[in-house]
Amino acid sequence: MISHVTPQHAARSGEVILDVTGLKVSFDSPDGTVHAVNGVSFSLRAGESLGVVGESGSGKSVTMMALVALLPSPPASVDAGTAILTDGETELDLLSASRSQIRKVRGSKVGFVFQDPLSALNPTMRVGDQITESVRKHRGVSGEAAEQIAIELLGAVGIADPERRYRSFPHEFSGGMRQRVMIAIAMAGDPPIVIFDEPTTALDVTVQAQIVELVKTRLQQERGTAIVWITHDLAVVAGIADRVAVMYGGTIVESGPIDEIYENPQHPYTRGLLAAIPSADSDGTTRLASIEGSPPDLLVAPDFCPFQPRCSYAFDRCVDERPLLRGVAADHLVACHYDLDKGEPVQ
Amino acid sequence: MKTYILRRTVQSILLFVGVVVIVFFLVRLSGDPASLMMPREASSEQVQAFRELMGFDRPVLVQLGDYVAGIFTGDFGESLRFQTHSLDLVIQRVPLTFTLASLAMGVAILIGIPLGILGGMNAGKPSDLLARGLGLGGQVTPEFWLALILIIVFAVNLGWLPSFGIDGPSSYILPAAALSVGAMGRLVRLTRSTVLEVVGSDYVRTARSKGLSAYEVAGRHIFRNTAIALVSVISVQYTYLLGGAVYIESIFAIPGLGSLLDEAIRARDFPLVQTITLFIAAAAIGLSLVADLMYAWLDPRIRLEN
Amino acid sequence: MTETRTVEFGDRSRGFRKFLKLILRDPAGLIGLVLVLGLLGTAVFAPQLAPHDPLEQSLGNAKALPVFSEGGSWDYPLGTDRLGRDVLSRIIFGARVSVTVGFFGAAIAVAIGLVIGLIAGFVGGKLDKALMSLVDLVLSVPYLIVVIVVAAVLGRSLFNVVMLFGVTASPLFARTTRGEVLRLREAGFVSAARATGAKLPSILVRHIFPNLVGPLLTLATFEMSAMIFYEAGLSFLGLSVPPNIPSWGNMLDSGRRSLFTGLPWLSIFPGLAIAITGLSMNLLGDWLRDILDPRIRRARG
Repeated sequence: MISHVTPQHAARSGEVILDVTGLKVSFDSPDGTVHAVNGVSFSLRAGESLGVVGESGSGKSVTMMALVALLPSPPASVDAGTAILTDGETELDLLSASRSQIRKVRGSKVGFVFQDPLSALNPTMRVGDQITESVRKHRGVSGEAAEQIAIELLGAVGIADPERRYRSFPHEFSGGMRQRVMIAIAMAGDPPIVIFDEPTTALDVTVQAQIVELVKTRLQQERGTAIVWITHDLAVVAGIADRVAVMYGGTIVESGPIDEIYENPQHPYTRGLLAAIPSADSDGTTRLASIEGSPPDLLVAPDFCPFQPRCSYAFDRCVDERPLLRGVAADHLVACHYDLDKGEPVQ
Repeated sequence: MKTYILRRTVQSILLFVGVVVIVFFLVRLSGDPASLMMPREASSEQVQAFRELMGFDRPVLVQLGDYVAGIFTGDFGESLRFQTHSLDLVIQRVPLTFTLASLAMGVAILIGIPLGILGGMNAGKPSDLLARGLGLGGQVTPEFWLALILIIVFAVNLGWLPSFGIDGPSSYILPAAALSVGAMGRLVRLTRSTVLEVVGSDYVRTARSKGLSAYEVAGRHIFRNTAIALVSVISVQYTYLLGGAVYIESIFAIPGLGSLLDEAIRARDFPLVQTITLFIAAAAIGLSLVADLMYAWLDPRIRLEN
Repeated sequence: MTETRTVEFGDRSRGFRKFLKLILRDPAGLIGLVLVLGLLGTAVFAPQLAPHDPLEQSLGNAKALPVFSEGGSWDYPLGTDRLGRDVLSRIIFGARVSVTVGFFGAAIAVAIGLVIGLIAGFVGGKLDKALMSLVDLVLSVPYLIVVIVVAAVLGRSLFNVVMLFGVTASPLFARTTRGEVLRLREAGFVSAARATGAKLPSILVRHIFPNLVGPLLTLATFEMSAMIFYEAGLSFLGLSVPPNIPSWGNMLDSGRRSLFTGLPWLSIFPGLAIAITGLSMNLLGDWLRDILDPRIRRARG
């Protein structure tokens, strides 16, 4: 392995490096205030990979972008919460950090890989230059040396003939290749955390699998990078995540270790999602079958269970009171007034 | 790229042929080009004689064929009023009009683009309000009105600047200022909306996610892509200026193409009107071709197309 | 951001209140709307509003100064011209020409453009290609020059000017209509409606027209403003309405003739009327585009 791409942040595995509590984000819209994220709390340990699952509008992307202030403001505003980023001895609350502090976090502490790699790459700039500008920013090198690192990164993400491809433009790559370039950009600052925002949604299944494999080997295994993988597809998460957080209506409704969630789902919504996963013998192209009912109206401030209108277990309390996360097993939390195992409301 | 150039050039030539046909029919819209071109007091015998002289009594398609063939052999027809070849008259007048339009374009670019960037980068803030206000103000101010106001203020009341003809560089100031205001206003608004679009794009978000400073994001990602998008906008605005020159040149008595058109219309010299129209249309088509080729060269998505 | 959402214009229950809310949120749009309504009112009620007969000459009162100049009086608030005609009354009556040109010009352009655009969008194939080439051709010619030449050929009349603007602006509407039809077809709506057995007229009324209202209304507002501008320019060159009809462009033309004879108000006020009209329609158009154009809305959402 080349020195430049070996891990620099061998943080002690298991230590919490990001701790988010009570995050609230809203958007100003002509129709009123959209309550996009309503009190989200989670933590991320060094080297672990967290899957965040939910349908569009569940607030999963908004949550992550709010952490590094990538939401356009206005209309977006972060209304409450803390997000403590721990880096060795220093701690920083991302939500109250200054602009310049946030800028230093972006790329070097938290990397991002976005959904649509064609629009996420600058169409008029050579892909190599797009990696190099990040390398220069974060590795304290310039000129030839930075370009050399960018070429190495291109090679590391599996792009053949990286010296030549350095000079290509995004439109000259396939979708999967572009996403590899995005991953190289995220790796350029060698951040301890990389957030993937539905990185494989636009790609076909084989390419999806390749990207997942790339992330596992290059980032998780070789560098010990902590990963947040945002997706609407619970099946994808199984291949990459250690832990899963299921989001609905701007809240985390259930979270826990991946096996626990799969084998012992405790929220009706999670059960619905699992039931909708296409069986193993299907060709895998089937999209997630939708759960009956429509997504929640985010214009109403949620002092009730957001899933209640679509929930077959719903009862009075679900309308009157918002359920808080409660522990059901080791590291397994669920926000529901109903105990699915016992078949009765929680006392 | 090569196929693109070829395709776009052929397209421009076809457009020009189409314009020639349109211009041919324009003067026949009233049904009787002969009486259109003769003085009102002319007798019907005189009109008839003129009709035969000009060949207006022949079948329309024959006339059209004749006209198109003439254009492509360099024979644009003779001016009725000046009794000379109309193309020579046009070519004589062109430099002044292009100088004026280029000056106005320069002013519009120098003021309009920075203002548009200022507004787009600070959407919703006071500087944006200023940019939008000036942009809208420029856009809704008729150039022929502004010309009169400028003359009243700077020529009649203050006596600082000349208001007639071209006599030294100071003669260009008022006409160019009056002509530029509309293009300036439109440039502010178009630049602003382009900047807004680029600022909101996914790749600018990516640039931010890399930890680049606001200046680095603007310099490497926003400005460059905005500039590329503005190439065609500028060529369209230049065409507008060639039109506006008709007002400005006739108000300031500048012997350019615009005032020639005004004179030709007043003298019912329609063969000359046709040639001027064709020339300006050709200039517009040429400009848009140049702009598209520049765009293609600047945008790798087209430049590297096979 | 990539998901397609169609905006429903047909939702009338919430429609009016939402409209009120939207216009009150945007003061610029409100100003535009009020000014445009004021312009319409001025044109309709010109005889009631004008203090004098706009054509009445009274040489005794010629070259009267506007009220705010020394020696001016409220008898002629904006002064009089060389023939003693009241400038204010002429501006008020001039609004009639501008409103007629803008409104009817845009209406004709919408009508022609709609038909061509629908045919191109629905029939497709060679006919679509031919129609769109024609549209491109017309749009490639510098607009002002064509308008000047055609007006010169047809002669001075309000009817000619209205027809001229209506026909020459129609390609813009045709292109917008066609684009919208293609977008809706691509979104699968039309085939979905066809699959349920809907006939073309009902598809048009229920799916196509509601989605065309926004883009066409917005475009029409901007085009009205442009037509009023161009009409004034033609009048200024002596190519629009006959000189005996008061129009803002005609007035500016006579102002231009009096530039050096100390009657600056003859040039100032009619131009101001044109600028304010352009301003109001642009403000209104911007606002309409913001709230009605589904593309913009989608990009914002």
